[in-house]
Amino acid sequence: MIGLIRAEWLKLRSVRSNVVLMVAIAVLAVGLGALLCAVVPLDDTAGAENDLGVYPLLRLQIATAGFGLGLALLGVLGVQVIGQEYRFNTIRATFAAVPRRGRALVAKVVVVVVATLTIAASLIALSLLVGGAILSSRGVGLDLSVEGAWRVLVGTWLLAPGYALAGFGIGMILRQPIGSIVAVLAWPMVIEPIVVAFLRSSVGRWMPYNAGSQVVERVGDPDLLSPWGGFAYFCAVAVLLCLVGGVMVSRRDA
Amino acid sequence: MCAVVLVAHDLTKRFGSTIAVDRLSFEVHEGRVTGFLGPNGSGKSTTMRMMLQLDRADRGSATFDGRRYRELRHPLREVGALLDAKYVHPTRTARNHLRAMALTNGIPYPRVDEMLGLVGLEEVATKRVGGFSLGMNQRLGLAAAMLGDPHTLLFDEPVNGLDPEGILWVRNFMRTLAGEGRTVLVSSHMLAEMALTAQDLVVIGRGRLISQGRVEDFVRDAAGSWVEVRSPQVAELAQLVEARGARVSMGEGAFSASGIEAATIGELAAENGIVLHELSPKQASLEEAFLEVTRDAQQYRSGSPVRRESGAGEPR
Ligand SMILES: Nc1ncnc2c1ncn2[C@@H]1O[C@H](COP(=O)(O)OP(=O)(O)OP(=O)(O)O)[C@@H](O)[C@H]1O
Ligand SMILES: [Mg+2]
Repeated sequence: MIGLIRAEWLKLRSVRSNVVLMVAIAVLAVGLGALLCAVVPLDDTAGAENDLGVYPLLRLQIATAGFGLGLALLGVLGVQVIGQEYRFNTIRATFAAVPRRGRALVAKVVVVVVATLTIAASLIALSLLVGGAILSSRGVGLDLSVEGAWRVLVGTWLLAPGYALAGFGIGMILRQPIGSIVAVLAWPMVIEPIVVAFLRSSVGRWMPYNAGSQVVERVGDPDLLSPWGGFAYFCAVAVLLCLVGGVMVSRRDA
Repeated sequence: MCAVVLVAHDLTKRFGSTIAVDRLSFEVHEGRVTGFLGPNGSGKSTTMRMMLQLDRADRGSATFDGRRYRELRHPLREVGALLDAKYVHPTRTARNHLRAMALTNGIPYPRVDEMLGLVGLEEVATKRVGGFSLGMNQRLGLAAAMLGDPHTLLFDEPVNGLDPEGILWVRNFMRTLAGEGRTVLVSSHMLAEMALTAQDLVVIGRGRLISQGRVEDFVRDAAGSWVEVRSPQVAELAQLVEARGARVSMGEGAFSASGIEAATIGELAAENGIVLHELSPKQASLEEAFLEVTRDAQQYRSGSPVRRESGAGEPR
């Protein structure tokens, strides 16, 4: 199994588009947070509700705000791990080398989870350093001891493999990258916000990405799932997508 | 007799309403190159994918020394396959492509560079495969097939896109592999190519087995020469020709004969006062013969008369 995992890691990093994607995620996640830390006004004229000076947790969220897009792109990375194989027919080489397909897919899952946890941990740390420095220079600074700080940070970190696995599962179900990428970007960023806006407490609360993101919200919403409850539900959906996709990939002709 | 290593048993595959492979059974022997011959679309590639269990067979199975592909613990060390040289990611380097394969089957890294050397790609080992020519891709595919030093090799049209030098190289390569005692199955739609490379032949048409045996036998039977004779007294002349030991098949006002010279038939006719309207010697090329054999596999199999009388259509 170690050999299979090493092989999948080599395959992931030896494809140029994956490297480009990982660099883009780093730049966007850290850069966007830093930019917001620099420009968001300290006293919000719209009301104390959004006042950076008043809410330390909001400062933390601003510093890690780049992960909104970063997580979606980690979903794309999850798609690529399987979608590229179908696009270039390398899936046949993969399954000829490892005909028990479940083993090859599990190795991919391990690589996706470990890689995204590592990437997310480093980028969160970097965002806190950069964002913290910028906020300090504006006289407010970051405080990790405020209530909810660790929930937001750990939640952001753990959402990373969740997004990537959901992408991996969708990639296995659709077995081609373009449609899968559209799905993992449009679903959380276009479809879910619309559904949540109009059908908040009924269908909206069961929208998986939205439910997952409750863990990084500042204030809980009684209409929606609880922070960790929503997170657990999102992870369950991601795992389900992987199981369904795994069965489909194993059953079908490569 | 060489040991049977690879056995296809009753392999069948449908794609929607087309039957790509139809109850196909054959055996491949050790230490010989076996040509897997059939026209375009006859099901060669599909058969090979089913052998590796990439495509699910609707019925039947293929076994390597009695085991199915999925039962092989390190399949690349037992079966090497070149299905399509394009099954490589274009932005991955040749070395990384092979290294990833090596890691999955516990093959040491030095073997990767050894194989790149074997196929003459060591200088482009760190180049992206996307920039490779068709021939270079084909060589990389051969290196991948040889990576685990397997006993059995499956090649799907390996000379596709190669220049004459490359073709010669591949041909010798396969013969060497068989000479080392390995089992080699190589597909092609060119009988002439197979006649030069293979010792055994498995011929299929429309997904069905047409014949299996030694190349010499197939070529002899397939590429025969014969004489076409037209005469108002066909029946009489045919009897005389048959009496000389020739094989005759009757047509309308004509017959064709094999195993006899045209001159002999002419002399027979003159001696017996028979009028000749046509006396023409015919020779089928290997490719013509192969086309004839595979053109209508089902009709051929049911044993109904072939349109043109040549050795090619002769059921054995
Ligand atoms: N994935 C697929 N989906 C649908 N039909 C297919 C598929 N693969 C093969 N076929 C059909 O099955 C038949 C056999 O195809 P196959 O590629 O096995 O033939 P082949 O002998 O390898 O031909 P060629 O000499 O052109 O390579 C063809 O009619 C082909 O159209
Ligand atoms: Mg083919």
